Amino acid sequence: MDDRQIITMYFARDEIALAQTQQKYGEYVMSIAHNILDNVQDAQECLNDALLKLWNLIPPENPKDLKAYIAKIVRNMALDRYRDRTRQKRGSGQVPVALSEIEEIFPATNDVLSEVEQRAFVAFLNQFLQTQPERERNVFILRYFYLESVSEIAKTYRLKESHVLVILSRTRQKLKKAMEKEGYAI
Amino acid sequence: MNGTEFLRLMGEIDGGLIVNAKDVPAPHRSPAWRRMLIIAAAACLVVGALTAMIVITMRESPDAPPIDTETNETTDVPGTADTQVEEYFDHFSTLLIGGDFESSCGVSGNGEIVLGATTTHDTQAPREYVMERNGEHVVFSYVETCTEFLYQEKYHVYENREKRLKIRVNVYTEQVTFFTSYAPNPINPEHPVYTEQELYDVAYAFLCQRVSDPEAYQVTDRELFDGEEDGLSDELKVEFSRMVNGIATSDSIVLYVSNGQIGLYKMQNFGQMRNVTPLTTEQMSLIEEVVSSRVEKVYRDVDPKYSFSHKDTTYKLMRMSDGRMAIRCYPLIEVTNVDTGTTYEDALDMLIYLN
Repeated sequence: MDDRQIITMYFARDEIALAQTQQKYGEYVMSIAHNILDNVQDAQECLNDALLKLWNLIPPENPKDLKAYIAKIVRNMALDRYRDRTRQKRGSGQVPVALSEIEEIFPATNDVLSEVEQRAFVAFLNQFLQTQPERERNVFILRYFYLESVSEIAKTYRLKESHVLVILSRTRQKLKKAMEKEGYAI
Repeated sequence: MNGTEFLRLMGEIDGGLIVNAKDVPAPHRSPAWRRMLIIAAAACLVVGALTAMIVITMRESPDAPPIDTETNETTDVPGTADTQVEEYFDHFSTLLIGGDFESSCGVSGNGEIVLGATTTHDTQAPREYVMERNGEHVVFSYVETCTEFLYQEKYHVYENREKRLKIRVNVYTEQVTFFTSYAPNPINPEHPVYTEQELYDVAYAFLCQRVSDPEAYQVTDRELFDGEEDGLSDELKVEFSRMVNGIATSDSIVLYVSNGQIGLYKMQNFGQMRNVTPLTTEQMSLIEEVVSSRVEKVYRDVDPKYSFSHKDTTYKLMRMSDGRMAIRCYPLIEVTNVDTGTTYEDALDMLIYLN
């Protein structure tokens, strides 16, 4: 069943839409949640919560790309859950590792972007990513959107882990330069 | 903005980018790809003639009696050892056999066929493999299953050189790998095709021997070809020691050779590479000479019908568990079967101790 049909079922409040979503994207969503939470049960709960949220959002939302839409939902949910879980202790999974990498270019600061600034930054990020070579861009997204481990990415691309690390490092540095050029305070 | 907020905003990027990132194209063959092949094949230490890989889930092991790997005759295993073997099977979740030049294939304990365990081979071998199963030849498509294992570098090695049998225990994934010349080569008609059961029996027999005579199969952190004279001059060893002692705080040190540039780098903070001290061309030449001589030895010892030419080598400087430093080398070789003229690539995994 294609995504359009599934979305139509959501609009018709047909609960089969949930089963179809789970069947089509359940594994994909679970992998995102698991990368972040490093726990199968938590990832499963995240999947369930994401389906519920999807049910509540559509309608009125009418996503152009259901796969990306649910990926964003589950990612945010997993990160929220991760933060709740690790408020008192450092958690496992890929988040702390990815954070430590990113903090290489983002110093620890409490400055928070306004909503307008956030939108502008996301637009900048999209533009930056689109100008990167395909492999470098995908590696970066696999790492910092999907929060996949370096070894998983290396396996996907059949690269040495050290090679993946170098790609990530170079892309971070390019991002840093691009941000400086655009006047973002780093 | 901080790292946490950046990660959150990454969640808002364009959906097309998100979806496309998962649609990974097959990598092209390139020098970088070849370099990657070396690493992927590093876990597949090939010494003997063409062999193949089989995966057997140990929990579902059959009750067949083990065979003697030299005589091929069935041998009895003492009850206690047998029990220990069962425990061993329970402890390790997966058993892998094989590793070859041209192809790889495997059979899990529940009969599922697993192929392409060493990623080197898709450059030369077809995307489909043939293996005998239950008396029939079956064609299987290429799938990757063991890549993760191959990227692991921590494993223990048991080796029986006389029987050309080697077992590695990955201490992280708890997978056990057998490298054995008893395995089949499904795409080379010169080599016999063995059944799953025969392969399984070899593995089972080895485990029995291992349990019955643990001293014969000591766990070590060493890898193939270690413990031999390394051929490096004292001066070079001193030079390495100086460099290593200056920077070594972990085993994450890479001797990096690329595009004619030679340098010693340290991996820091997940990927920041820092050039510490370059090696001289003379030093590298000496190391390459040692590698080349060892490659020759490997091939000459194994089977004179194979000739080879050295194509490329990557190096990694690492600290072993006993505190010694070593250069781990992954020479990429072009191997030619003198009889048939068939040419293919192979990669070796070598260790040269520096102190």
